[in-house]
Amino acid sequence: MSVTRLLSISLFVLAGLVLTALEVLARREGSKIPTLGALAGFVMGYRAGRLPLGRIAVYAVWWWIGWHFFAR
Amino acid sequence: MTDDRPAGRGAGTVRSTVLVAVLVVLSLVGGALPSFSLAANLYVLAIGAVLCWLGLSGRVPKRRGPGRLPGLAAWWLVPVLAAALLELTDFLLGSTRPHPTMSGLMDPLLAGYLPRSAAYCAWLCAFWGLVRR
Repeated sequence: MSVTRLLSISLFVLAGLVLTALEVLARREGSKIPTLGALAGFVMGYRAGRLPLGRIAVYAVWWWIGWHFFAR
Repeated sequence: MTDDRPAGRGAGTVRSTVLVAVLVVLSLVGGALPSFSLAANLYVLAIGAVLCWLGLSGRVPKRRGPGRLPGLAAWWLVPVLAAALLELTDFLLGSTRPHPTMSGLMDPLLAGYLPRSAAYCAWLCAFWGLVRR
């Protein structure tokens, strides 16, 4: 296995571990860190006039992730 | 013998059970569709379209989101931006074996039916969670 491949895999795993750690920290009593769900909820609350732009953007990103991993 | 449980709670349990069953069945079907097939494309597009419609039409009750975020929310940007930067770098370097993108690394893991169905279920559950937000 090349060094660059090992480095890429390690960094992806590290990012995943940090995401998991943040979610665990956020779910503790009295935490000042919002959960990922709360963060998504905040972003989805963004509107441009009557258009729910944040909601559309979050749905589009999640939809694309599903398509990218399961269909493309 | 009488049932002392509130009627709403029982209905909620039934709704949750039906929802879980639907998500599991959808995942089991989705997991059986191979990547790059027309069926897989149409399936994920149809499911996404229905969930987006449910989320945008206001037909599903939503939890109230936070009005503002604490400063520590910025910590979420660290792993997200790091992974995005790494993904972009590997993609621009050709998405080769020495420079693998995340989807390239996930493909062998998602090749089996059960892991693929489980991942499909995770994606669907998260999507449903976003619809309810």
